[in-house]
Amino acid sequence: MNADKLVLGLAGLKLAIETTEVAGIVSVQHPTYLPHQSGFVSGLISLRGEPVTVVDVRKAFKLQDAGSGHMIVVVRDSKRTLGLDAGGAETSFLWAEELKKCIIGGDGGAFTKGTLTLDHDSYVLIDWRALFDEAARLLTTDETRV
Amino acid sequence: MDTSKYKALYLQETSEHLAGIEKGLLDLEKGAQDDQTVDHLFRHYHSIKGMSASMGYEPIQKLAHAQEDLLDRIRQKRMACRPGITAVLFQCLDGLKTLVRQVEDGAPLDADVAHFAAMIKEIIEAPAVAAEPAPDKTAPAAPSAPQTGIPELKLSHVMKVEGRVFDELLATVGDLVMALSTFKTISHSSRSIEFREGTYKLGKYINAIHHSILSARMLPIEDLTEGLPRLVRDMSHRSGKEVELRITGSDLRLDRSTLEGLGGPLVHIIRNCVDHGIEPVEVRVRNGKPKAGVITINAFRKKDRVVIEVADDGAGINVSKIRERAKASGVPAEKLNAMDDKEALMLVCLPGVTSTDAVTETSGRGVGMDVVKAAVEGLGGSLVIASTPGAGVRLSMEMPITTSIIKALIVNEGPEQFLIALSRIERVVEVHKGEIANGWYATGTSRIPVLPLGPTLGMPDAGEREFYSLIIIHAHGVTDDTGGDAAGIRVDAFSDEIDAYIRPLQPPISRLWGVSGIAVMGDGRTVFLLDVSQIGTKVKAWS
Repeated sequence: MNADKLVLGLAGLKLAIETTEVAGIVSVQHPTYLPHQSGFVSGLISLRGEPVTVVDVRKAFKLQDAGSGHMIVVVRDSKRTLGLDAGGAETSFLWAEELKKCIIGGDGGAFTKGTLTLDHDSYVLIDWRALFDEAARLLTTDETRV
Repeated sequence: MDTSKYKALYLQETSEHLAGIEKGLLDLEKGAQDDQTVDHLFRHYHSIKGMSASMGYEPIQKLAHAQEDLLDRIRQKRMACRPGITAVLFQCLDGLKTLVRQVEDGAPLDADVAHFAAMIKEIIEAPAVAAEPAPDKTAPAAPSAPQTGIPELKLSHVMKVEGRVFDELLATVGDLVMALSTFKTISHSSRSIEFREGTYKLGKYINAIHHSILSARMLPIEDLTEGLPRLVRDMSHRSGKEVELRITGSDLRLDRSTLEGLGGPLVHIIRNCVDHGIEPVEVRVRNGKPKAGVITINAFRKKDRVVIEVADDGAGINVSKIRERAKASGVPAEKLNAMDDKEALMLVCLPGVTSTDAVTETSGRGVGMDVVKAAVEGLGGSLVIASTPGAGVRLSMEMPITTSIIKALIVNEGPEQFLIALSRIERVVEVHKGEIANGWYATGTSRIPVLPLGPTLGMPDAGEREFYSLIIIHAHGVTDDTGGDAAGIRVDAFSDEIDAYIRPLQPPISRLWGVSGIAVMGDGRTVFLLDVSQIGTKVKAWS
C-alpha cells in the first residue's frame, strides 16, 4: 500500500496504480480491433514488440468520456500484461512519503483493491488483475469453448 | 536398424562421459578412492558400453567393458585400487578417445583394443602384493595425437544448447523479418537502387538465418511417438484388451515447440482409444472383428502443414449420446438441433461431455478432449473428429510445420488489417457488389458460398462498397455448386504479401474466435492472422 503510485485523473475520479507494475505508457491512434470484442475491452497494441490487450478504464469504471486519444498505461506482473486505456487522463504521482499520511479505506467498488484518502482527496486503487480476468471472460465466446 | 541419425547424440553424450572419466581418474590418482568416485567412474564406463553396443561400435563397447570390469572389482572391494592402475586406465581412456574420434570422423574403428584389454587383464590377475604394473610403453598411441606428446585439446563437433536459446533466436529473427517487411514496403516506392539492393540482400541473409534456425529446431515425429508402444502395451495389459499400435510417417519433422505441445494431446487420444474405442476381445469376436484392436497413427504432409491422424477400429462414438450429454451440460436444444452429426461430434470437446459410461483411472470423465482441442488450436493447428459406428474413430490434427514465420497476404476490412496465410488461399478475385447474390458468388460455371469478414468477426458495419476482394479458400464441411469445398471470404481490399512472424495468442486473448496468431509489424501495429479453418465453419451457416 505504501509503494509509489501513478495517479490517473479521469472525470473527477483519481485512479491509482503501483508504479512498480507500470511497464510503460504509450499513445496510439486506435488499438487494433479484437474479434467479437465487447464490454470494456478496447483492442490490442504492442509495447516493445509484445502484443498487449487493452481495456478502456473509462468504460470499466463507468466514467464519462475523458477526452479523445488513447493514452495507454501498460501494467505487468510475472504472468500477465494489460493495457489500461485512460483516454486523455491527467497523470500525477503519490509518493511513498505522502502515502504514510494516507487513510486506507476498504471497498472502492468493482475492479478496485480499496481507497486512499489524503488531504480530503480520495484515490481508488485499481485491481487490474481483476480487469484482466474479466477481459479474458469477455473475449471467450461459446464457439471458442466448443 | 539405421543408427546414423543418433550418431550426433551418441557423440555428445559419450564426450560428456569421457570428460567424467578423466576427472574421476584424476581424483582417483590424487587419492580420492571413496565409494562415490569409484561408483561414478563405473557408471560412466557402463553408459559408454551400453550406448556403443546400441550403436554397433563393438571395439568401444569391448574396451569400455574391460575398464568397467576393473572398476567393478574395485567397487565391490574385490581388489584394492593400487597405485599404477590409474596410469593404465588413463592409457585405456586415450584408446577410447581415439575410437570415439574415429566414429566422429567416420573412419573405421581400427585401434588395437586387444592390447588394452590384455593390460587390464594383467592388472586383474596380478597378485595383490605384486609390484604395481608399469604403464605399457608399447600401447598404441592415439593416431590423431600430436607427435610432441602434448595431448590435443579438441572440442566435440556437437554442441548441447538449451531449447530456450533457439526460441529466443527465432523470436529475434521474427522481429527482424517484421522490420524487413517495413523496409520492403518502402523500397517498392523508393527510387534508390542502393536501398532496393540493400533491402534485397538483407532479406536474403535474414531468410538464410531463419532457415538455419528452423532446421535446428525440427525434430522427427518419432521422437514424440517412441514412448507410445509401451503406453499401449501397459494400457492393454491393464484393460485386458488386445491392442496393436501401427505408426507410419513418423520420420516427418515438426518444429520442436509444436511436437512438445502435442505430447499431452497424443497420450490423451491414445488412452481414449484403448479405454473407450477398442472393444473387449469377446465383444470384438462377437461382432466379427479380429481379436486385437488396431490403433493407427499416420503422419503425412498436406501443403505446408503436417496432418497427424490417430484412428482406431473400435466401436466409434455414439453421437446421440453426445447430444444428450451436451444438452444436459447446458447447450441449448435449438443449437444442438441445428448441428449435423459431424458438428455434433465436436461437442466431445466441451468440458464434461463424454460418450462413455465407464470411467477408468485414465479417462472417461469428459475431461481432456477440451484440453486436446485447446492445445492443438493453441499451436496453430486444427482438430477434426470423424466416427463411423462400429468401425472406429479418426482424429486428425492438422498442424503447421513451423509456428513462426509464414508468407501471408494483408487484407483490409474497415480500418483494420488482417493476415491470411498464403498456403490457405486458392486465389483472389476483385468483384462488384452485384456479383455476390444472397451469399453466393458465381464463378464461371459454378457458385461458391461467400462470407463477409467484418460481420463474421463482429466488426461495426462499415457500409456497402462498390467493389470487394474475394479470398477464395478451401473450407472443411462447405459444399459449393460443383461438390467442392471452395468458399470466399469477402474483404474490402487486399494489399501486400509479406513474411510474417506469427506469435501465439496469449491470455486474455488466447480463446479469440476467428484468429490463430498475431504479428507485430515493423511500425508496432498489431495484425491478427485469420484462422481460415474456423472461419470456414461459418461459411455454411452464412450462405
